Amino acid sequence: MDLPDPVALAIPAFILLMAAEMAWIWRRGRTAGHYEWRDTLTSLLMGFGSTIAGLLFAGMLVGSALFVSQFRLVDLGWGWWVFLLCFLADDLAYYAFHRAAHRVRWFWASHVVHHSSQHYNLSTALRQTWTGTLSLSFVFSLPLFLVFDPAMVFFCSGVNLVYQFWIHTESVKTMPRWFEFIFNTPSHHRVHHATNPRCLDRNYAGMLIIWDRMFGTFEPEPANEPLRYGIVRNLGSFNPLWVAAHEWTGIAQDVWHAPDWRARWNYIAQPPGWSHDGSRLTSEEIRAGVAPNRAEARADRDTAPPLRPA
Amino acid sequence: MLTQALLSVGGIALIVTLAWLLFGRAPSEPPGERDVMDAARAALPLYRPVRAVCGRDGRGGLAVDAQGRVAIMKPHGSHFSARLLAPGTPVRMEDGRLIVETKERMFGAVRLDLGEAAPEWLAMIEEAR
Repeated sequence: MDLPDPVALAIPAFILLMAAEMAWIWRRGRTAGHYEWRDTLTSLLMGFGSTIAGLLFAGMLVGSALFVSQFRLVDLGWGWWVFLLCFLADDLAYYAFHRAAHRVRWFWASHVVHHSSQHYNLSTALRQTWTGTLSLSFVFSLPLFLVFDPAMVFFCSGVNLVYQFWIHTESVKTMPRWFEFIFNTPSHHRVHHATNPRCLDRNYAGMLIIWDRMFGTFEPEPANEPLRYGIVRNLGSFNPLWVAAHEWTGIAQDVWHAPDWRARWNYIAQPPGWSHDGSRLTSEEIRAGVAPNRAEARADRDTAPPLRPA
Repeated sequence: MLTQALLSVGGIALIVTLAWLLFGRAPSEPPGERDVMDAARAALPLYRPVRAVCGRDGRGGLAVDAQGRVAIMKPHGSHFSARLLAPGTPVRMEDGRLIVETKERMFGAVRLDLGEAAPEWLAMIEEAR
């Protein structure tokens, strides 16, 4: 079956919606902070570059899909319920990928690009990695090709990506309660992009927030705490090349300077923030450090909290 | 594919131009010491600044915690980007401005117009643990 590319079809809508969001923010008098033209330019260049990278490395992805597809376990056909099943399976695979992308530095090195803006608006959705395929992030989707036709999997994956565009906004506060319970929404995803300690490594959902509720990674948007966006160690640069490569550079430097092979491996496979001498903080440690009832205890205990100096 | 590429490039130009026209001007109220304190607290996990100073032109600032550790805030668009300064961070005065060279090439040097407060902060950076 010939299925369209949802992402290509959605490009005009992306442009129109970004223009509409800017007009909305401007009309409401919020003239600073929500859009920064250099940040937007970087995000859009990253998005454009990611489509080129996607074309360059498409062979790896399609080749792997076709290879696995040879061993298909069943032929479910093209019924509507098969599409539905495929959407669910793809969304679960996305959850697994996304969780790994935050918990394993190798995958984070690609995914960090998407989090590197200190702004949260529709242009942030398009700030995408150039190295996702190279870092083999598609391995999480490979099991799907044992059950579904590759064209169907690619279509569902494209729809999932398009869905995630509209949730990158501060202009939509909340959706109806039933919708917020089932689907990923701007409110849930703002939490995911926030660096407030309680928000770190939460709400990994693609389309359905139910996975986070099921696997214990859900965090509701705090009512009385302003969210700050970006990464724990913000870049301070709009240079797209640096945005694309900074974490890979960091891994290379850490591996080079690591004292032994165990540390070398851990700098690649442990969560971002891991260090052999404990001089940095992982998201888990940051969360624990400021958790209620522990913050003061830790403050008393640590005369010099472990921070990586510049 | 060519159509898609042209559409994307045209879209980027349109959106960036619109962002510049609508939001490109500097905020009417420059940041102050409170903003620098907030930025340091927000950007550096478990860092609790007790004092801060903001550049007179609003371009960056410094904060210090109870242990004497100094953090530098560099303006990044409409936000700050922060780093904790390592002991021995190169710092000097030049034309009345404090020049702090972080060891990160891509973060770069930060020039701060601190006025009369500059010598005190220069000493704090030099003494920072």
